[in-house]
Amino acid sequence: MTPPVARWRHAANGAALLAVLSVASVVLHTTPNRELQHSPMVVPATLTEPASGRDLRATVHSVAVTEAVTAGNGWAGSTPGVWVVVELSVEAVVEDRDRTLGTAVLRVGDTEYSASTRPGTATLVSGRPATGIPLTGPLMFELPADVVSAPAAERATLELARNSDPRVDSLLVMPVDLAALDVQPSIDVDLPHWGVR
Amino acid sequence: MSRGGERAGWLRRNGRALLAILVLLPATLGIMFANQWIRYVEDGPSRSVNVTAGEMLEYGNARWRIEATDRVSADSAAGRERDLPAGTDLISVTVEVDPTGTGPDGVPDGCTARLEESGVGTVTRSWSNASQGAIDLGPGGPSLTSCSSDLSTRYSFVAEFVVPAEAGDSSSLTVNISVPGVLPEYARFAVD
Repeated sequence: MTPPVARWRHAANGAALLAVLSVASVVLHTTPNRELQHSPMVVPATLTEPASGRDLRATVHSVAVTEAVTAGNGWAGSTPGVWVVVELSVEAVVEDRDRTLGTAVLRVGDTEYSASTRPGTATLVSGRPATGIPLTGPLMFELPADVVSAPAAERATLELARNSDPRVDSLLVMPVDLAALDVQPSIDVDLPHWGVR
Repeated sequence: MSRGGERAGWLRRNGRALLAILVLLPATLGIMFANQWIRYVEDGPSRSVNVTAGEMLEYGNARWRIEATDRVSADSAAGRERDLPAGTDLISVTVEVDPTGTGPDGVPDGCTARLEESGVGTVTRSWSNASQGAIDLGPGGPSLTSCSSDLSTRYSFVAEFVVPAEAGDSSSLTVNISVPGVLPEYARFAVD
């Protein structure tokens, strides 16, 4: 017949169990959740400085707010709000598939404004990339007039990515103070063209 | 009974089970990983058949050979004629295809040619055929820019690639030709 188990072994087993449970609890609470696992890799960008992600390099030349804009192909869209016109150069770093800018978004507070496709091929949003060769042109965002002067507009961000789903890839993010920009009456922009500026 | 004796007895009694774990655990992990990765590897071009320019290669129902390569810059007369954007070069690769008598079907069902730049310390970049690319080249291009499934005797096509002027400076350029039915194998030709 086996000897009885000593009391201290019971206590040791209990302590070991508690230790394993606490380690498990710590692991469970510190594991990144799905959103964090899939989050994009943010590359901070500043005005006139090139920012490089895995497959996207972009340099924002200027940001302007205007009531009317005329594109290089003659398109002049009317809007009850205002246009935020961004002039930038973009380039695919690694390969030339799909579109250059699958994601081109102006984020003000909780709201995302995608680059307008109304001007057709006159903006970079419909452009196709060529590896290593920059494409310079405008992006236009249509915003309500009161959003541009709201306090949240001071911390607006311009977000650019190659894919329309920016998760798990580079996302270039540039802060823009929209409220500090004067609203111009009208702006003319050129057609997108190959080369820098 | 000695402690050593007890331990040796335990090992002997559980030896087969331990051996099973030693074999099955890595096998399970291996199968799980292979399952996830096999589709990724088999669907795209991932196994290359390498050859240098001038050599003939059998691949995908045909024999392939790089006949010639040419490179013009944007500020040359030839470059201006083709409307090359400033700061770019045009690389033209003449590929000779001999589709006769190497496989049951005889002709490759279309092919895709890409130019790839790779090297130590550089990111691998690639370019698609200019006939499908974003840059509009002016008139004067080749009549045949890719392989044809209609031709059954030896012919040539010219694949053009618009690249930044510094491409290939301190790295090697290769032309990768893939025929859809024969993936994941693809033909890879080194060009200067």
